Amino acid sequence: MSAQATSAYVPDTPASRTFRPEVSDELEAICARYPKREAALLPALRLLEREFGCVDRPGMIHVAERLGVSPAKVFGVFTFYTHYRRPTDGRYSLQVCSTLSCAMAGSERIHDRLCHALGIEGGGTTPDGRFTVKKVECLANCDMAPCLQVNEDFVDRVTEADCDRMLGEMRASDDWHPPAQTYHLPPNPKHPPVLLAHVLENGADRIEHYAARGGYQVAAEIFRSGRNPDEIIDTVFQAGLRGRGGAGFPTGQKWKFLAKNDKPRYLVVNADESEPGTFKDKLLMDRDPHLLIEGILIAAYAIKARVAYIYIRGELPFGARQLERAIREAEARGFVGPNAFGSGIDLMITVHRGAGAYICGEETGLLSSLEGERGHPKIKPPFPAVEGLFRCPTIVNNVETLCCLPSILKHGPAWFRSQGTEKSPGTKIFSVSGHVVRPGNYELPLGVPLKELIYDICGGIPNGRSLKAVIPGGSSSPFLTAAEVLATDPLIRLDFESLAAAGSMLGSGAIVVLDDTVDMADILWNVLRFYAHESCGQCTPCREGTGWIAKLAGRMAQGTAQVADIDKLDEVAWGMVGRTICVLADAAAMPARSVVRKFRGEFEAKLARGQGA
Amino acid sequence: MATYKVNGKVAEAPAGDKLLPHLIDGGTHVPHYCWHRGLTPAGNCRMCLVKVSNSRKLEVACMYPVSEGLEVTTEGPDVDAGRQAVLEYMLINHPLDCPVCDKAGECDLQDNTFKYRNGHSRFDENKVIRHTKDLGPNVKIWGNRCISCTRCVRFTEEITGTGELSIVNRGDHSVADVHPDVPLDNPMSLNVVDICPVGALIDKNFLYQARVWFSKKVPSVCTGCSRGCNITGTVLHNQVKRLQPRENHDVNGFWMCDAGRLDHEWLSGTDRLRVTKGDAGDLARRLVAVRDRNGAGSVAMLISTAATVEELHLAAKLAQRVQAEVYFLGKVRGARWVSPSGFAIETDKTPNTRGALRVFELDALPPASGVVDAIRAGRIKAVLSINGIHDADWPEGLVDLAPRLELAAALDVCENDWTKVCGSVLPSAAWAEKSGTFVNRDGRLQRIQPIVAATGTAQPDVVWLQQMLIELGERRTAISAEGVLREALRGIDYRQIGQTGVVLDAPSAPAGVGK
Repeated sequence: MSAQATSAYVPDTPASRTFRPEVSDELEAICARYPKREAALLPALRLLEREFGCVDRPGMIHVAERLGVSPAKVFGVFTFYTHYRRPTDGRYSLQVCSTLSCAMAGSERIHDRLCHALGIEGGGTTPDGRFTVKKVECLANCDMAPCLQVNEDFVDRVTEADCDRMLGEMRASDDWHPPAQTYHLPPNPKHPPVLLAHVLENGADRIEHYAARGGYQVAAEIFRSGRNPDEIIDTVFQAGLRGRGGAGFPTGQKWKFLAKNDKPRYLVVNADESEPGTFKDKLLMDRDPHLLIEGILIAAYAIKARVAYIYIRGELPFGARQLERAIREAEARGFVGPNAFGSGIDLMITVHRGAGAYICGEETGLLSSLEGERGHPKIKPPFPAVEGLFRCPTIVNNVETLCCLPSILKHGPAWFRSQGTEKSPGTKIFSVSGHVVRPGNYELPLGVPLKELIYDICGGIPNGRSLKAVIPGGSSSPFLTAAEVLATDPLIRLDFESLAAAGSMLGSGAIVVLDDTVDMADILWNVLRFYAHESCGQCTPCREGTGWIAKLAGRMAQGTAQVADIDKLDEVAWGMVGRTICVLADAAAMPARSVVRKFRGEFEAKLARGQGA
Repeated sequence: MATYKVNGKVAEAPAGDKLLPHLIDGGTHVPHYCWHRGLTPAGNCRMCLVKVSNSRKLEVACMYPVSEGLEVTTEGPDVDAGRQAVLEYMLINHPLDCPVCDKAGECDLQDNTFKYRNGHSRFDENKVIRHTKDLGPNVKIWGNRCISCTRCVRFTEEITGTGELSIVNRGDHSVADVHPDVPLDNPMSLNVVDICPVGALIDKNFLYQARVWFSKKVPSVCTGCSRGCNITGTVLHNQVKRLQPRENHDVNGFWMCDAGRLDHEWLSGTDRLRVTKGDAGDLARRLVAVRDRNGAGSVAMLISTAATVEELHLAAKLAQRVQAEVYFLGKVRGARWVSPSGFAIETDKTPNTRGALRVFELDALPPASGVVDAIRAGRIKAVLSINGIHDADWPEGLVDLAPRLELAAALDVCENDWTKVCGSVLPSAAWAEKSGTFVNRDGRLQRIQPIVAATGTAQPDVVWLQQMLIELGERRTAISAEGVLREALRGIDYRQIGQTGVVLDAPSAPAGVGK
């Protein structure tokens, strides 16, 4: 939950704020990258943050004046996003991930340790304005649980001893940063990776490295030969590539839905990776950004988009910097920008940072956010392919989806279809976290049995414990019990069809494994707190329902609920399904219902004990 | 046009139009909160759920398009269950404080809860607490009651273009708010209170003033400017408690300005004239005597453009009888304000300049300053003012010239420097206390009617003026205001005017009278 605690720290706020001339020019340059000035609102708030250390009231008024919007709008947008620095935030903002995988790894203890050492409550700031400690939602770093961010830098696998050491170092310095994040890929010898083939190589993020391994050849060939864009759409369609962000919609099909009119078309990259348990796009962007840029070039060519925006979640500033550098490198070689590859096509790619809102991973919520609004999903139809960003035809594709394009175009649809299943072709990156011996990203052909991934590839459940449950596709997917995962008939495979048949979904490929030590009520509470925190608040059933079921689950976790509350939670969750603009309500309700139904005995026993039975 | 069915009955509407307005126009009850005819649809409250033949889910009627052959079901167990569920969610964090809420009695949330729910809630958790605070000079928010429907936000964005409001925070902490340093302060701000479907936004002027179910609601027309916005007055214990806009798309749409809305406060002010000084018959005789002594043109009548068509008609008769010079008392203030949506607030702060031009058959109205010049020139020996508003643009010097007059008399609503020097003062009923008609700047004849009884011995000016005319033998008996209108505008009666007015002649708006 968002920390509402009051702070002992009272910052000095001036009566007004104005950007320095250089920053003012910078803001104008940002505005020039969008057809409407107000679309620069999120980046403008980042400028406030950078220039003045936080976003405050006079800063918001200055931004409102500069962008020609009302101060209330800026205020409404600012309060929608949790990631901006508040005036009461300390010099060091310690943001402890409190979502499932980190929570299971003990992030609550880390949070409490920090608070205790600093003598403050969660969400509070030390009176000297140096430290703030708060809980945040999933940081997309689940294989490194428990993790936290110090301002914008990740600290992996934090221990309580690390907390004390870090605090000591921060007290002694005004500019302390943790060591740069290191990356790992657990061994996966049976399945040689395609997308992740180079992420661990030194310099893989530089254009020289990417070009040396054949990078940009596909894009160059397409642009220089003036290939018919529809041919590329057909190739992708024939390959059967399905969206890797969660919904699994066929990418080529989506492209074919584009409205044919005179309006400009946009390609938007959904890099708002925030489904709890998912940390695959972060790895791709941090380590192999040019793969994404080439994917963007191909997709933009195919759909005739001349402007592409990469909407990257605010919690991934390193990824954003990597992408910006990659774009500059590609621009320097003439691959991106005016007259790309000498083709006469001008292609602009802009990195647009989000600011802490899960709902901006929903494609229309993302578009609202990109337009400088609160990230409210839009009513469909019209779908973005008909009327999307700035009311123009727009394709929104996930990072991993776009990263598949260079190899599909290089090797052809048949090659792509030679991996995976008939209806779910290709490889997919699975982010495995929780109670497995070797958590991490695994690129597998779709259709690998789930239990094979858990037991053979990831090394099984650690500490001699046994499996209790699995979240197969991010916390929005209904839970699977150990019995379901271990069954051979039906055998649950990691593809869209098999998981749908099992009553769950492949989602983003985020697999969270739970062993028999967990209390399912705790797990449920953690998951539902996330959705209550992330509901945009637009539709009544979701705004109110997510909070309600989270509170019910909270009392269940604490053992103060009644047995009758189990049915109540089930019914309240059911009332949210299918009655809202987007599927966030369903994403909270479906896993909730699966947990109370599949683990009903455990809930009943716990609550009966609580009632003194 | 597409042919579709609503609960089995055939209906027609343009394909692609949203369903909800057509359902409502067809007389079907569909509960809703976020949708408002004057604003773009938002589709967020999820209350207007209906069953449609080409979707398995319930769909919101405000966003669902009409199509050929569509079958819409707006009632039945499925639809009711959907609406009941939405309402239950809507109420869980609502404080249920109807007993102390000013919206109670006219609250959509209360009404729909009465219709769809049994008073029971399954919610046993702690409620979310949101702010209660001033949003601006006229509006206060009870955030706990807010259902985040965004009507108020859309109003400030789409109608006034001032954008003072936004939804802030997210999830169940969402609530309407202003930027902390920029209050909700625009010429139309109070409309957000009317369109708030719950009791979240409250008119501070109406706060705890009246229970609407004890109150009477009377239709009338605002007299605050030459636009003549259609209004409804809320009355309790013979006091106007509040004015609200009444929908009329030929005049004001759904809206009115704050100044007009608060133009009732002076009605019960301490400066209202409550006691008659002199009497009408005597006054009439003395006017004739001045004329007889000094000749034609020695009497001046200073007539307000806030007077009704009926009063103007009778005043014209009187002027003819006493051979009076006629001057007009106006009230012109500020600069014309037009909202981005096209709603205008006029500078002529009187409702009937156009009616005066028509009744007196003039191309321009002689301004009030003319009477001062004429007194100074020695031509005028008597002045009778007929004024219906409390702060007209009185000509400078008039009061000081009173000693030069043989007769100073007033028909007026409030005591002012001029009435203080008048020998005869007949207290007039104000706009909310009388019947009559005005011609607005666009030539539309509209009707006011008594909302409250007149104060003290005040009488409508049609009564005073007819008493004078009877005294002078100009008419035999007094007739009703409607009768006077029939006489003034041959053939037009109140029934024809109805509640939304009739256009008399083509528009060419007069600017109002100067001092």
